Order: sequence, then C-alpha cells, then structure tokens
Amino acid sequence: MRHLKRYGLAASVVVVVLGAALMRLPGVQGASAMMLNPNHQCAFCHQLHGAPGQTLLQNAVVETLCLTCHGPGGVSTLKAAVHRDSAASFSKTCLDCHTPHSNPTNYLSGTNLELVKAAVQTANVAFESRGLGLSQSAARSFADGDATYDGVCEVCHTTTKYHRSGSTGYHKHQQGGTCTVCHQHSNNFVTAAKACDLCHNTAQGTRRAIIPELAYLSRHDSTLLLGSLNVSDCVTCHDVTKHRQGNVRLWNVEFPTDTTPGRPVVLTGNPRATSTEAAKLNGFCLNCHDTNGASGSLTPFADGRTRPLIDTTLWNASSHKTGNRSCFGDGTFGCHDTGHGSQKHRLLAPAGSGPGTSNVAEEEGFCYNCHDANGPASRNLQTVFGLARRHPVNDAEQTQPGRTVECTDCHDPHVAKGRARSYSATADSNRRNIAPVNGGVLGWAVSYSGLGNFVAPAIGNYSDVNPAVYEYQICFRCHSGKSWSFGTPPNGLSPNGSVTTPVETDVARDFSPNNRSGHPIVTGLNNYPNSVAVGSPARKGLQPAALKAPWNTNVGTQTMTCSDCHTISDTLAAQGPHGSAVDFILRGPNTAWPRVGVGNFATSFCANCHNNSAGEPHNQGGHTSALTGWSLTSGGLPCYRCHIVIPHGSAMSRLIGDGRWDGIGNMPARYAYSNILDSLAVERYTKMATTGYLTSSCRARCYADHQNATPGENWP
Amino acid sequence: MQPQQRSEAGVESRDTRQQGHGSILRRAASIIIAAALAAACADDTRAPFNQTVAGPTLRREAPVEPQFSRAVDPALLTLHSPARLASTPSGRLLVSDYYRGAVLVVDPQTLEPEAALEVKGRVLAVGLWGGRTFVGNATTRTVEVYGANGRLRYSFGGGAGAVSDPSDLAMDGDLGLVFVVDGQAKLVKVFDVDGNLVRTIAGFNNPTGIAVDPTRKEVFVSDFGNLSGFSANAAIKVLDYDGRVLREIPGRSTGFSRPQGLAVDSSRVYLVDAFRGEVLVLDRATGQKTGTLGGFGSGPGQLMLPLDVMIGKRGDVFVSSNQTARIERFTAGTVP
Repeated sequence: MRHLKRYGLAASVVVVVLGAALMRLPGVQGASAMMLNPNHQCAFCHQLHGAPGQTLLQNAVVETLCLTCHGPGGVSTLKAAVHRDSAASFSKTCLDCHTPHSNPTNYLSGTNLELVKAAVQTANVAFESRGLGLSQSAARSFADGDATYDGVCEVCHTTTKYHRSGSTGYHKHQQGGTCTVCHQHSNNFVTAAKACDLCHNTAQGTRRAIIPELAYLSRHDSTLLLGSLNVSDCVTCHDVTKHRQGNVRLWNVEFPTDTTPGRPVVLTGNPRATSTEAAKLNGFCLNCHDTNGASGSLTPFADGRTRPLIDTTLWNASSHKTGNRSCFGDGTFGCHDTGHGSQKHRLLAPAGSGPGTSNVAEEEGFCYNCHDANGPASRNLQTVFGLARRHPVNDAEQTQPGRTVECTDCHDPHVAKGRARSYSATADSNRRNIAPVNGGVLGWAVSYSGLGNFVAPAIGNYSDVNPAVYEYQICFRCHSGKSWSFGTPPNGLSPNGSVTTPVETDVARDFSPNNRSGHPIVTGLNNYPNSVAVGSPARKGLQPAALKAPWNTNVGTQTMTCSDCHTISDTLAAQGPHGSAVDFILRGPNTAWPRVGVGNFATSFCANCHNNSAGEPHNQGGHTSALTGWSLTSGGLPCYRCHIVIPHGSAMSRLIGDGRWDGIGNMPARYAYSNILDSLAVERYTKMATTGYLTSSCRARCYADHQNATPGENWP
Repeated sequence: MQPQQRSEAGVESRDTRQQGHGSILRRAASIIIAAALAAACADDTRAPFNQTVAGPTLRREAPVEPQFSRAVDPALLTLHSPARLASTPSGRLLVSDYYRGAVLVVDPQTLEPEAALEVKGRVLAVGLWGGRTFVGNATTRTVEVYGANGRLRYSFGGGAGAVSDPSDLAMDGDLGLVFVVDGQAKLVKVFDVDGNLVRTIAGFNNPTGIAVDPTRKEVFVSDFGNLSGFSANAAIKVLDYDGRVLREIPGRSTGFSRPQGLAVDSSRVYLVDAFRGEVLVLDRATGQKTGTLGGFGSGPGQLMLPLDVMIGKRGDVFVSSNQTARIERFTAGTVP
C-alpha cells in the first residue's frame, strides 16, 4: 500500500510536469494540449525522462514518430505516406498539415479526425484553413466551387505550376469532392490504383454504376487475365482532367492525351438517345477497333487481348452504318450501348439485360431486334428462320454437339451490305464470288490438286481464307468433311426432316473438279479434268439449249453459288439459305425433287435452270410412260432411277448413279433415293451428245435391252 | 560506437533505478497472469500441439532457393520501403518492400537487391518453407504463396480464417505451420502450409511482429499495447503453440514502446523498436536488455523506422530501416 501511494504520487508529478512542458511549447496552444483523441495520449508520444527528441518526444523526428503507427507495419488503420516530391521544397511532413494537439472539438466528439491544422504555412504565406468547421469534408475539398481556395490541399495546389487547382488550373476536377478520396494519403497522395472504383462502383448522381458492368459477360477490362481492375484501364479511354464538369470526355486513343478541340470526344448528351451523340462514338470506337488498332501499336487494356478489327472503309459502306448510324445506333436502338460491359456477348445492347425472348444473348435473337416483321430492317429474318426447312440458328435447334451455326458464321455485321439479289445476273466465271452481304467472313479453301475422281479432300488440302473470296468457302466450314473431323457425318436434314439417317455429304468432295460431273460451284466445268467432252463442238458441259437463261451462256466457264439452288422458296425479301418451305432449303418456283417423273419435268426443281431439250433421254417414250415396277403413277421414271439424289457432283458423267446390282462399284448409298441402292436402275453409262444416246449407252435393270449393254463408265 | 555505448549505459541505469517499484509490479503482474492462464486453460479443449501421442505430424519439404526474376528494370531493383525480412536457404535475404509492391532478394554481403518478386499490393509479411514463399499482402488481405519460380500458386486468408491485415508471419519448418499476425483482428492465426486454418490465438492488444522457435515450440509476439489508455503497455508476449502465455517482457521497464519485428536464437531475443530506431538485444530467459544495435538516424548503422530484424546464417544481424530505405548489417562480433 505504501508503494502504491508512492507510485501514484510519482505519476501525478509526471502528468503535471509533462502538461506544463507541452503548454509552453512553441506553436502549441496551452488550452488545447489535452485535446487529443483517445489514441493519442501524452505518454504515447512524449517521454519525461531521456526523451531523445525535442519537446520531450520519444523520437527525434516527428515524421518517423507518426509513421510508427501510420506507416508500414503500424497498428493504425489510417495509413499515411509522407508528401514526397522530387523537389525538396514540395515535400511536406506531418506537422505541415496536421497537429496532434489543437483540436478542441475532437475531444468533444468533434469531426476533425484528420487533425488538420488551423493554419497551413506555405512558402510565402500562412493560409487559414477552414478545417475547423463542422462541414469538414466539403470545406477541405480540392475545388469546392467557391472563389476561395483555402482547403488543406488547396493552400498549395492553387499556387503550384503543376497539379494546380483553381479556376485557371488545368487540373480542376472533382468539384465538391475530397482530394484524398482519390489521392490517398496512404499512397503519397498519388492517385490510387483503383481510384475510379471508389466512386463508380455505385451510381453517382445521374451517372449509373459503372464498375459492376466490368464484371459482365463481355467487357472492356483486364480482369479476365489479371484479376483486378486497374485505373489505367479507365483512363485509356476516359479523359479525367475535367472530371465532374458535366460531360463524358473520351480520349482519341490514336492521339493519347491530345486536348486539341475535336479531340477528345466530348459527349454533351446521352448517346443512347441522341443520334448526334451516338455518331460521336463511331470514330472513337474505331480508334482501337480499326485495322491498325490505336496507331498500330497501343494495346489499350492491361490484358493485351486481341481486339475485333473493323475495316473502316468496309464499315462505312456497310448497311449497318447507313447514314448517321454508329456503333451506338441512331438514337433509337444501337447494337452497342456501352463501352464498359454487357450481360450479352460482344458488348451487345441493351447491356443491362441478359437472355430474354426478344433480346437475348444469343445473337439470332439479338438480330431480330431489327430483322423481324416490325423492322426497322427491311429483311425479316425471324420469319424466314421459322420456315419448314432452315439453318438451325435458334439455340433450341442446335442439338448436335459441336454443330451450331449463328448469324455471324455467315455475316460480319461490320461489313455486310444487304441488297436484293438478281438470279438472272450473268452466269460467268465470277458468279461464285462472295456476295456483299457475306463479306468479311472466314472461309475454307480446298486444293484439289492430285485428288482422284470423287476422292474426298484430306486435312492437308484445306486452308483458311479470311475473308472468304467465294461463297462456297463459307459453306465448306460446316458442310465439308473437315467440319466433322472426317468422322461420322452429322444429320444432314434441316429441322423437321423425316428421312431416315439423312447424313450430310462432304460437299468438298461433291464439288471436286476431279469428279466426272457436277455443278460448277468451285470452278467451271471446262476445268474438270475427268469430265468427258462430247458433241460438236465438244463440250464438257451441257449444250446451251439444255439450259435456261442466264445459264445458257458461258457454259463450261460459268460458275455458280450454293445459294443459286439453296435459298428461300418464296418471295420474301430475305434471300439466301436461311430457310425455305421446301426440303433441303431449295429455291422455287419449281420444287419437285427427287420423286418427280421425267414426264413432269417442267415441275421439277431442275426445271428452274434446265430445259428438257429435244433428243435428251428424258423425252424418250419408254422413260416418260409407265414402266411396271419402275415408274411413278404419273410422269414415268422418276429422276432418281438414273441420277443421284444429291446432285452436287458425281463420279459418273451427267450426275448418273450406280445401283451396283452387278456387285461392282463403290457409290455410297447416301446418294441413292432413301439411301437404297436398288432404287437406282442404272449402274453403267456412256456420256453422249444430246441426240446421240442409244439403248447401249446405259446399262440398267429397268428394260431388257439395257440389261446387256456394256457402256464404259462405272462408279469407281 | 561511442554514442551507442552511452545509450546502452543510460538505459541500464534507468532500469536499475526502477528496480524497486518494478519488482513489486512484476510480482503482481505474474500473479494476475497466472490466474488468467489457469482460467483460460480450464475449458481449453483444443488438441495441444505438444501432445506426444496424437501431436501434429512432422511435415518437412526440402529447401529450395527462390529463383525470382533478375530481368527487372534496374531502376526498379532498389529498396524503396523495406519492411519484413526472411532468409533463403543460401543465406540471401528476402525483403518485403511495402510501397514497391515486391519481395526483393538481397545479397547479404553487398546488401544490394539482385532479383525481385512482383506482388500486386502492399507487402508486409514474408517467409519461406520448402520451395514456397509466403507473402502477406496488405492490399488483398491474404497470404499469397509463390513457387520458387516466382509464380503465384495459391493464396489463403481471404475466406474462412480471414486475415484482415497480415502484418508479419513466421514459419515452423518442421511442422509446416505458418503463424500469421493479423494486426487488425489483433490475433495470431496459425495455418498449415496449404492455407488451412489450424488455430487462432487471441489475447493481444495490437500485435505487430512475430518470431517462432520450432525447437522449443515457443512463439514471440511483439505488441504495441493498449493505445486507448493513458499510457501504453508495449510488450513481448512469449507463448507456447497452444497460445498459453509463458512469460511477458514489458516494454516500459525494458525500454521499448513501438515493438516491431523480432528474432530469437538460443539465448537472445532481438527486437526492433520503430520509435527509438534501435534493436534491443534481450536475454531470452530473463527478458533483461543486454545491449542495443543501431540508433536513430540516417547515417550508416543508424535506423529510421526499423521494422524487422533477422539473424543471418553467419550470425550477422540484419535490420530493415524503412525510412532510410536500407538494410543494415551488424556483424556477429559486434552484437552485444
């Protein structure tokens, strides 16, 4: 007890002496010496005996003293780094801005928790800070909107050459905000790495929350690879030097930080609702997304991911760019409505909604926003993709693993130029060329050199061609053997088909110029080395008289496209092989195939392009009349008794098939009607000129005179 | 050396003058601590680490020298804000650099950085086990684990057993345990090297640094003390692996107030006092100060805001001096 009394007395003396000493210190107001917050009691900084620093401080340098708690490894949550600068005169230490004592309101639960000094001394004059008021944060703002720049940061940063605030300063921004929200004390007042995140994680006034969008399905940021948003990701596009002044300012990334009028882009309105504002973003997006990126070298985002490249010339000529329309549309609806992130793929609009019935992440649904019965696009594709036979772009129809097709497999929306197709256009060697509506799309080219008759190209024969030059190169990407890795072909009938096992055929083989016969998709028939020229003059192709316009010219050199046969069957504006009411997505007006008798040739699908010329075997009386067991009820022999039912190309001339009833030959059953070889009557054949056919030209089971014939061609 | 010797003499004389009062208080404190320990242990049903039958399994991994990148921009291969220290198998120093966001490999002779491990965030704690480098990231508030090639392998402390402020860590290489000081939670959290929380040790005011003696299974934790009271009560707390306080070295009588990193050998405890800019050398058994190293200042051998101390393979003592952005080496012969 005696000891405790002595100890208590000694402690009282310490307090009195220490308090008296502090109240005499220069710059310390005596009445305020006790006004400390609970974590800054006297003995925590001062030491009565043997204090190494001035004013009885436990440390010789106040700065280091503060950092023992507020620096690395310190126990305070309020971390601080000293205001360093390369020029010593600009370096400030703790007591330049703070005082640990002079805050009466603090001790009484005041608000000046940062212990900001009442007066801040600069090189020339002491500025009175308003840091003692109750509205501390606003009063100490970098630019609080009034003409008096007297916040704790402003006392210096209204006079500095760089990083200068004020009405004449270039760095005026964040009016009404507090400097240290972005320029954090813990980071030497340098803008923190995630400074944007601090505010834009939530809505700011009329500005929507941005940061959450950067976690959407598709987005502009580096999080996919690096895991965290970096402020450099934001300022790559955003000019923040005039932050919070009412406009969104975007750098012209081709000319970074160039403030020349016109650069950067200044949005004064909502580009989602105003065509003039939307138009401003067209060039802005192309700064990076044109073919040379941003000056060809800048990788705009920290992850370095490949950006979609858009040919500016082709984009400007495309249908989607018509008029004043831009990436953001024309003030009504645009394909894109944000540069940040979208719940759909490819930053598609509207960004904030995910899959839905009318505007879904799946692109066909997205395209229907415009390409439906309500427009505004003139091509109603939603209806076309509802026809009986169609490419299965709708996700529910994409039931075969790995066999999907989307609009962008055949169309590049930044290149496509839609226009009415003329099927009567001249059939020449260029007819196979890609249509403008399919421009910019990847294709597969095939080298047929060295391949035999009806031999399928192997993997080494294929090569990418981007963009595709000929239309068939796009079709090959799904309908050739390579697309199913040369394994089992997939189901080949469009939705709602009923034929048993209608596997696809390898169209790269079907249209091989090394076949004996075929439709000239890849090249003109004169370039078919295994095709036999007949007649006078000798021709590999048909006599012009056997063809209708425009096919009756340039026979042998003319080419064609897949969509000459496979296209919409009615008069809807949306042409191309999207869908058709006819099996195999065949074109009209004649659609009967393959179960049509030669006597009714005029109604057959073939009659769209072919004449039933005099002297052809079609007109032979035995073929057009009833032949028991072989003919149809009407029209005599059906086409499939002699021809393959997939008339792309054949190992025999004139697209003739081989029923193999003599046990010789290798024609796949898939080319026979209903996959049944016995449906073919023919098995050997000799190609003749139109009027030169004899009974012996064909070895067939349908007629006794044919059965003993020995013509030359057989399916090898 | 003269100023340092005078400083030591002064400290010792103050201790001598306070002996009379201090002994009474220490005895009283011992009674209180013993009673508290008895109460704490009465309902402690945790499996003790030192249990001989079902004790923790030995888990060792052959040491691997980190091969961090030497192809760093030379301008960046400098110490900027050195914080915690650890030793590689070859005796090189691993130095966490708080503001630089890196762990630097420093040559123990030249004290120059020669390689760097880039870390996204503020770096404090650092330690090695086998080929793994454990890094306390104060920004992500996790302990990140890097392979010897410098690639991030995994991290822990962000979910269950969350670490809100990985201020320091120490390893028990025999048991494969990581002792992490969580400064904000005021806890020491014990993980296995795979990041599974094994134990949480409470009872601290403001813990900062930590050292572990795997031989005696003792944990040394530096503590700023209670900052809200009229006077701070900084201390070193010595605990067993189960968290029982074995003894306490008080800062007031010993002569430290802002204790940070520490190191222990068989007979001594080394403690940096960030406030006074010195390393206190303490007798491990009694806690009595036997001498100091360094002293406040920016000159050679002086320290400003020292944050950690490490005993090198040859007995040299290395100290990180944060504000002078240097590592100071005190050769074995000069250590008191």
